Amino acid sequence: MMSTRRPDGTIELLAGGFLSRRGLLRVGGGTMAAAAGLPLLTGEGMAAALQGDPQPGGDLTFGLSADPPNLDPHIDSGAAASTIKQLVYGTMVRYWLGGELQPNLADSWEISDDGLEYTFALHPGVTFHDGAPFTAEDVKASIERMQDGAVGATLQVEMSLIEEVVAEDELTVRLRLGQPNPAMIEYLAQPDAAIMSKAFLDAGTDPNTTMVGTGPFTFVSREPGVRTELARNEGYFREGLPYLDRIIFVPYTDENTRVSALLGGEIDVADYVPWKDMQTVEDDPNLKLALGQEAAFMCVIYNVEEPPFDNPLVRSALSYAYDRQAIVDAVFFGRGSTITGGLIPTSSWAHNAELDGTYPYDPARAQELLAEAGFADGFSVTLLSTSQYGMHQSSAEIAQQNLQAIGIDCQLELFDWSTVVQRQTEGSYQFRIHGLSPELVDPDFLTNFFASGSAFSRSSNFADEEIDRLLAEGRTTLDEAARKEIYLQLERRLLELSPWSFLSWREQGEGLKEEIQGYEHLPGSTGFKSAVTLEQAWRPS
Amino acid sequence: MLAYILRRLAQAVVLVFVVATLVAAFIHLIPGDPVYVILGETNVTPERVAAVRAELGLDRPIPLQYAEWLAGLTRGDFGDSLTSGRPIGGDLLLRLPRTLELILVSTLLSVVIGVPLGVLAASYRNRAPDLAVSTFALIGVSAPVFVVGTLLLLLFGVLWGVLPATGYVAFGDDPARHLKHLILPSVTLATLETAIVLRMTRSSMLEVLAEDYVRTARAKGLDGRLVLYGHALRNALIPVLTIIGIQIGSALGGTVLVELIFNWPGLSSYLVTGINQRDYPVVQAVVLVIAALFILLNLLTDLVYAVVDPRIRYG
Amino acid sequence: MASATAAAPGSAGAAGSIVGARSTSSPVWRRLRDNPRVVASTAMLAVIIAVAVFAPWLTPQDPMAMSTGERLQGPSAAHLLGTDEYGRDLLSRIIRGSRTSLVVALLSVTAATVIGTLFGVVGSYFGGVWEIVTMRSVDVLLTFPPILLAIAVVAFLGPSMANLIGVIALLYLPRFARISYGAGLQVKQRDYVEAARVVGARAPRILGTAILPNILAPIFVQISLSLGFAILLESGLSFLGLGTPPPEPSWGNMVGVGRGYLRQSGWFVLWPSLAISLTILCFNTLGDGLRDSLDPRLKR
Repeated sequence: MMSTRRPDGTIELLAGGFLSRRGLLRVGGGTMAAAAGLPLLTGEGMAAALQGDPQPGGDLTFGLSADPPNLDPHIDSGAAASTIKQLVYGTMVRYWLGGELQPNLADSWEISDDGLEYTFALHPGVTFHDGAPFTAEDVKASIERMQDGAVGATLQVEMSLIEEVVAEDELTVRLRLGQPNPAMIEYLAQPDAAIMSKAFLDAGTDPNTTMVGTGPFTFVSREPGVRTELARNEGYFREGLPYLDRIIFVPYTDENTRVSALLGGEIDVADYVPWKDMQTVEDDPNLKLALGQEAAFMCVIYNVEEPPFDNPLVRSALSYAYDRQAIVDAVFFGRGSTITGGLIPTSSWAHNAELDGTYPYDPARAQELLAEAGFADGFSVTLLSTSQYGMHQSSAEIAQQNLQAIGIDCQLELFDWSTVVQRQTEGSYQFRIHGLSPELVDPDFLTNFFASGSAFSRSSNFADEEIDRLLAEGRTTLDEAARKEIYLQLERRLLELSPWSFLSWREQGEGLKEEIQGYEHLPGSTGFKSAVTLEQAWRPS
Repeated sequence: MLAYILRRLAQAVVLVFVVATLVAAFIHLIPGDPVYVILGETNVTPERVAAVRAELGLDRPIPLQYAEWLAGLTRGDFGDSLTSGRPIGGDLLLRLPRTLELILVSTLLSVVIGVPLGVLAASYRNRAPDLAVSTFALIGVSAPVFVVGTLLLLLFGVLWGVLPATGYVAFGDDPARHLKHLILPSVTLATLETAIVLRMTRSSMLEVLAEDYVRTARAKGLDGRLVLYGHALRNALIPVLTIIGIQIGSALGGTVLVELIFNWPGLSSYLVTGINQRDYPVVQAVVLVIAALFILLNLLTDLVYAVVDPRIRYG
Repeated sequence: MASATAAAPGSAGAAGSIVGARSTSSPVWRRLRDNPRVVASTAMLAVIIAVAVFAPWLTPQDPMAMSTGERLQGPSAAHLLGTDEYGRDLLSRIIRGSRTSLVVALLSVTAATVIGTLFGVVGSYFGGVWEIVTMRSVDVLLTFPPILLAIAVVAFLGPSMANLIGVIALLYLPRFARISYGAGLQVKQRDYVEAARVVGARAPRILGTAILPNILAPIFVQISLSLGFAILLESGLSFLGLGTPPPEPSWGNMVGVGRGYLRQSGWFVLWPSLAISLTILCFNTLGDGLRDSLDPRLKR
């Protein structure tokens, strides 16, 4: 799976790309028979085929866990907002079934031997929703917008690795990097790297109030907090797709209400099915669950300037104190797995199995280490978390209980999310509980979390030269075996320093009506990019 | 009378101004920053924060921002939401009627059910009907609103599936579905209100029935029922009206839980989202509207007194 | 929220009529004693308060001890009322939670009563500037959306029991101020107040000896009703994540959390709901009884 996106396998990657492309063109043929071939791509074969041929038409009501705070595709504002943006906008490359990278607006690309030059051949005949043709100029304008500090694009740092964007001709664009980066193609696959129309940007239209993209659905209307409506893009470049006429997004911020709406048949799809209710959804004959493993993880982040957490021994001691299985059981109803070693997921080629078991649940060991660090009698600390998200608060409650069990007086500070974000950004906390997703399949996702200068390191005052060195080395090394060795060292160092305590992976799932076909939950952290598969979703009329 | 109304209105304007200013001060004082909400939590750099802050005009002194907002108000402009960029006035116009509808329907329910039951209880004081009704009322005032709401939702919306569990459909889109969606939230809201109106009617009827003139009327041989409904109820209604006034007033800012449970896109959920996202102008605007309505409602209640009870005069 | 802030049952109606009572305490007591509902609810409240006071000795298990393997169970021999989402013993948490709920209710209503009554009495007796200062600030408080007040206080000061008590007190202060203001205005006109003023008594003395005792009746009624609603409000705020911070149990936060697990274990939400409802029921019955007993015209 991962082989397709390794830079040392440029040809392989290209081949994979062409194959997928061809597969899609087959679907794009528009006839029902051709479209039926699509489930074969998922490997589900007969089971899916038995559902019959896709039928165009129909509406879908999608219950979102949050109301998108903004519509700007370059500014990440949470998974719920991303769901909508993924359908309206297109990216050069995208994650597709099985978590594979698939050509999208770019048909193919070539990477120079030094890993510095990327040349993309763009898909011909693509138009934006306003009718303007999609060209290399749009790619250039979009990347330059993301690089602009005033925009506040989520991928500003990553896009700034691109030193130059050249529109060679209408349908060829060349990117020049300052240094090689094996995750570059993945950055371009992020929903936050959406391609916007140059004409739209030049006209000065506010991208926060309307959306003009190349995606399978067009933006129709939006009333914040109530509904956002998308309609079928008649001019979508994958012919015959999408099947649905309309998708109506309704925000349901209360998770219990969202599940009730799904169970009551009010909505067709609900994202973020609470773990406690997954069984109920699975047991309901009218509903099914689209589920993915290792989608996101819970962790404890220490402010390493705050005593006693300025002592790595104390942080390491605490890593033994958390009952990770209790968190998996009580918070995620068993739908997750403990992380006793490194953070690189088990599905990754870079996963360091030899580190698993570094931090088992061992309160006695924790107390030993605390005594060694000079805290035999414990200490008093406050744990920052939010009352707004159940999984955060529940994990914090269990952590608090665990720490009290080894003689640490731990108080919870539960604020609303806005306050928590401010407190953490300003570093005014001792330690906090957080739920995060790696975002990238490539192990370079660690840079976002642990490189000195990253938002997370800044807010936790963490900086370590060796980690910086290893991250940079991992990023610029193209050989996979060599990279694996680098990431082993890196994770070993991370566990030793324990700036974070990793707790558990969690599954992530959407609940949907049994009759709805074609929607797939992508594996691992790409699960948050599953919305793209709505382009092949359909329902029997 | 007119002078009285004008004086009260003048007071109202001052009061609304004070409340709005306090709220503006309050919401700016509490921790949390709309810029962080807009930027998300990853890759927040000081430069980006500064850029967004400048773009939204949040870098200027707060009193100046507030003064500009007030100046906009005089032109009927409530400002734009910081997070969605939409004009707040338009969203208020969409959301206010939804909350008012919920409140009015539930108030109507509580009066239609509560007043007759209260009269019934009073006329059968300490006998079986009174005990039954009073017990119902006690349970009604004792059950947490979100427990009642969740139970109704689970039973009618999920288990039996006879009513839509959640959500909202505009009346213009589909009147029948609109009304169906209205039932569960307004019944939930009405449970407590009915119990309160019922209890008030009962005790106030009991008081009036003990008054001398009612006894006199009875002694003179007037038909019992005529006395009960004609004389007594009319006088007993005044405190009931007060309670209804208070109910509606507090419901204006108090439908929060019901709107949350049933995903009803009204004013309260707008306020809560505004607070959560630290969307300053949204919070200020919603509070302003709620405060103004609340004060107008009080004035209206006082005026209705005068109609119901000719003894009350305002000068 | 609607539930809790909404009601001032009896305030307007009772205020006017009860002031006239001015009866010696014995007939009131007799009437209360003869009312079986009042006796029953008083006895029940005594039991509830005793449970709260002796909670540490009554809990069969550690109310904080988690055992995730036993989570969300129904009643059993090991856990008489079942377990919560972390496998903690519900009976022990209900017992422990009675403390939190009652302390929050008692302290917040006490604060609201003292400050509110002071505002009302001062406002009504002195009038003029005093009236504007006291009663207009009460108006402002009334106009403030309670949810904003709660979120603001919790965000600004952090969630804690003390802040929760402060918020609830602020939300209940206006009704006491209004009742005592209305009653104070009426009493002020009475002969004995007039007389006290003529003989040159100082204001605090008149307030304390002539006015306060005569407006106590409606206030007592309001206290008993408010206690019930304060418990309800605590649960409403807990539902919004603004209530008693974990791991300390309160009936309110138990209902708030338990609501989410209705599909997994109905027992979880049932017990604290019952505890809340029962306690409010007792306070309300007591309040009703007080009102009936204090109003001589209602005696049979």
